[in-house]
Amino acid sequence: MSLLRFISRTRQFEIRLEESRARLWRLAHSWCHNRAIADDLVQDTLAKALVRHGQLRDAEALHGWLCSIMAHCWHDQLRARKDTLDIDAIDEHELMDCASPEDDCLQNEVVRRVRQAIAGLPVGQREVVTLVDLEEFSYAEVAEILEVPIGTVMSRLSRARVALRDALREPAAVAMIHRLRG
Amino acid sequence: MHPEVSDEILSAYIDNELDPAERAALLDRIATDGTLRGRACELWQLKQMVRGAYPLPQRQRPAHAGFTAPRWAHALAASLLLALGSLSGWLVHGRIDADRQFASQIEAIRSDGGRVVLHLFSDEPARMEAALGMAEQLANARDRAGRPFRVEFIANGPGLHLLRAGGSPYATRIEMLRHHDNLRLIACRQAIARLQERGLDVTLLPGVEEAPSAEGELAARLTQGWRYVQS
Repeated sequence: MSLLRFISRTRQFEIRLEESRARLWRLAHSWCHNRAIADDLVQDTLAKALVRHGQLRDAEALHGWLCSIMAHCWHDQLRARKDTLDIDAIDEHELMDCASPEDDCLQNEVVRRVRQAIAGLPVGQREVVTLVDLEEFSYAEVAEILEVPIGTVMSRLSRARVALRDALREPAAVAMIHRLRG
Repeated sequence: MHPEVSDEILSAYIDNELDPAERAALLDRIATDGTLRGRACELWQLKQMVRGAYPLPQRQRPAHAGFTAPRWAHALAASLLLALGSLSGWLVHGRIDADRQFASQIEAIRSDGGRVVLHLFSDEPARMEAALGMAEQLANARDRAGRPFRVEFIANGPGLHLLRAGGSPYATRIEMLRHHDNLRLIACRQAIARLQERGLDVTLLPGVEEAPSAEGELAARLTQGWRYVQS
């Protein structure tokens, strides 16, 4: 391969990586609810992807491959910080929706409650529910990304949704939302 | 007596993971089992809430201060949480009530592949009128590639009134709509059955199809990535 073609292919790959950045960041943020850690995870993931560029067989599978790299980075971080990262790093402010400060308080409050419920899930359930709901991966793809059996994906997802349902319909939440409506 | 449907199966249904046979069998049960239908709706609502709570970060704000997709997702999430919280039913708060917002909706649908479900759950004249107006605009809209939008107009609950022969005040406009190949008019069989239970004769206008349940049809479309608009 000529150097020029190599550079051009690498450049195209970089552009495609860049297109995945926003989605990766959203996913990372839904796992850790901490902007700084999400930034780190995405940077780390994109850097590793550039290095391992050659390992990607199917260009169509790029996003799944990136998510799989990011899941590894995230698990490494969790291990390195002796599993305390997960609980301690959640910044309450991160549960608010900083992306749209002009939105009314009800919307922000709803977003905060949903994020709080997601943050309260065990890591494994949180990963599955965000990969399925946000990234719209199939169960088989999620199983591959997280390197767990598909049955585990299904049971984690199901447990996650039951927990979310319970968290979001507790009476205090309902009362508060009605107050906000008024 | 059927065995109870597990949460795992219901999750697989709303995530579009069932094979066609399993899906058809479940839809049949959903059509006759209100509790099961409620569970499926609740799960589907949860899914939408999770999606609404994590909008994609915008690299830059759009130049015009329009009604952008993430905000719309927020509005839907808010309406869903209200519906879930108050247990008041199916998406009753998410209506779009301004033309300007609807124009932005069309733009969002266009950039999202041009597939949309339009949902009517009301027989208030203003709502029916608005739904028809939206359906007419959507039926004539085209996506970025110049293809017509694919539109499903789903009516349930009191909204069924719009599609009934002998009752609908808008039969002529419905007749015009049904000649659009890219638009399907769908009535909820549950809603029909409820009217029939009250001894009413239900005849649908020509060209109106029936779905086992509006919720099932909506959930199926939305999990396939269709946009949702409620009048």
